[in-house]
Amino acid sequence: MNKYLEYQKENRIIRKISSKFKVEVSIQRKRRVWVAVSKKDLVEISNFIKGIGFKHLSAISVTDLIKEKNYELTYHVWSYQDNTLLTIKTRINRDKPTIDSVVSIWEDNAQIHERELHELFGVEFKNNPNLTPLFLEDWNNTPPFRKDFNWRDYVRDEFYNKENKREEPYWDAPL
Amino acid sequence: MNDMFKKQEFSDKQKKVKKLKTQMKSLWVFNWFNSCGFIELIPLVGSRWDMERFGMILTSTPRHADVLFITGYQTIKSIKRAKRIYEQMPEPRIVIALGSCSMTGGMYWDSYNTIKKLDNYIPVDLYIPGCPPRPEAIFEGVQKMMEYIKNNKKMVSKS
Amino acid sequence: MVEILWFKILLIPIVAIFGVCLGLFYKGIDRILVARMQSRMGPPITQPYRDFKKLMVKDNIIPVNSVKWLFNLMPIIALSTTLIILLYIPLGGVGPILGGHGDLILVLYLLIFPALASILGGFSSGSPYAIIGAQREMIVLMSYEFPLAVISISIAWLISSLNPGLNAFSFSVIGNNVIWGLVGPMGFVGLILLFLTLLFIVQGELGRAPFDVSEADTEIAGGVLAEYSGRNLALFYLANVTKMVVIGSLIIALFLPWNISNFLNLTGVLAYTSDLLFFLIKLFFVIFIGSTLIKAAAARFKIDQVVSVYWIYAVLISLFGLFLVSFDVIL
Repeated sequence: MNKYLEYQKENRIIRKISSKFKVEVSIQRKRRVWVAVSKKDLVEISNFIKGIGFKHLSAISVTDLIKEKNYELTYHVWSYQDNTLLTIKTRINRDKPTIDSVVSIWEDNAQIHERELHELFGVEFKNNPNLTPLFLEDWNNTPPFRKDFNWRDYVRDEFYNKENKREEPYWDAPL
Repeated sequence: MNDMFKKQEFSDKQKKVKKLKTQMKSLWVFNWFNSCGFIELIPLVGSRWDMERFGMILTSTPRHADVLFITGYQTIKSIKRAKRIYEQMPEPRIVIALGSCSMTGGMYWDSYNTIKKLDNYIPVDLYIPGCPPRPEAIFEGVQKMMEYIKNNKKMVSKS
Repeated sequence: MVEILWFKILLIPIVAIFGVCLGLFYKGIDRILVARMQSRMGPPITQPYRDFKKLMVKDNIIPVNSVKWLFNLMPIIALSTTLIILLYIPLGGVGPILGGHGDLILVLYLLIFPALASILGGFSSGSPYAIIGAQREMIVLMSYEFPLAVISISIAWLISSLNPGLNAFSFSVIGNNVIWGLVGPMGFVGLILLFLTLLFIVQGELGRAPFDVSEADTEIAGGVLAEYSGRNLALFYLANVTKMVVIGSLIIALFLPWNISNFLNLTGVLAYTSDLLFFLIKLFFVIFIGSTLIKAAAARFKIDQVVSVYWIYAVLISLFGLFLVSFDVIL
């Protein structure tokens, strides 16, 4: 009984969402709700969530799960009316990561985050107007934040010279 | 990466040294900075360590400047712009590299996007170490360069 | 002796060199005073001479996008027109060199040319920063002409309505009938108001704070002079510095034309040297109060604030001063 009274606001939100869609939900603590959706329902659910009151997209982030061969996309959305943070998670394939963009829902906020993720992880967002890289110019390697990109070998081959005696400690430095 | 840029070649070194002697009394400074390397230089313009008593003024375009201060780390994107700024300065010109990030890579020695040694891209005349260098260190560096030029000693970069 | 033509032609280079060297000297004093007011040590007084020497030694880069003949011609026009004005203004206690050939109206016309030269130099530079700086300089130039005209007309009207028949615009007449002695107390207040308006205009003409929108260092990367370097920049530097002497002499000729040798009853060479020294001291005070103090204390205006200061406030104050002076004469 105590727990029911405590989490009234969060349970209301959960009831609204799971009455219309098939999702997994959990409450982490007060004012924090986690939702896991599948990839093809993402845009529909985001539209509905913006209608409820979650108008502020805080960030989009990617976790590289190399053993399960997945990327886990995380959308952090805040609501001003309820003061809660809703975290939406999806999984996409690691070798060909494509997903629909949410620029049509949360406009400029989503655009810059998706641009950064495209540059650093290689995630392809359809319908994003501008996906040019922000920091890396002339980069034709794998996207650098992936776990299978060996940055030490890349830096060692590209910038340091083995014949130069001054740079010899860098050549053999441990990881 | 090293053959992406070509070093500039100067002719007539004697004329350059003679012109530099006239220039030493009033140096106009343009700075190109990327991050924290420049923080300890803002007091240089203020009233405690005053830069203007040696004749140095901060200018706004590289066309008016004699000295190019390059401070902080340089990424691949920004070294191209720094190269363009260096080419816009009129002769005779001096490049001073501040901070340890331009000497060996500094704190970012194993990063995939920063350059490790500035001398491979732009001919540098003076390195001032420090992370970031103190204002007194910069004054000492500039004074050493003035002495080198006055005594006609060999300057650091081959030109 | 100054009426003989060949003697006048001989004096012209002497006046030019005198104006330039004096300007560089006053700029050095101005820099060290501004530095001391901001509680730092300034550069030595001979610093502008070193700056000029350094600028002559550097390379002269001409951008590819520029209009080359305009780009190279404009610094020469700026410096030469500024030096020409010096020939028509009384310097150092003596009358102007070409005194019989030009008067106050000619000086007002000639004062447009240095600003016009820097505007055209900015437009022909081929860089967007220079174009924005040149547009701003055009607006400032159009704005300060009106109060300047009101001031000169009011002084001339005052002199000619009390002594009709004289050419009230010529400098020797203004120097002989000192305007402070011609008015009663109400006109005195009016003349003080006109003097204050002239201090507005000085900073606008010299391009210093608070009216330095055209050469804004941090906003538009150098403004009008963004693409100049080497010898062209040295000539613009000299023109800027000489303009300080020109405007200071103009203020002294209009409002403070006393000579010390009249008070001490000196004659001959001693009179000339004491007049020259008194003129230098007066020039120092005019530049200090009118330019250095305001530069050290003021921030930069926006362009619409500059226009409203000149077209509304300066015009109103000067018209009110003119009204008081005319009221005083009529009664």
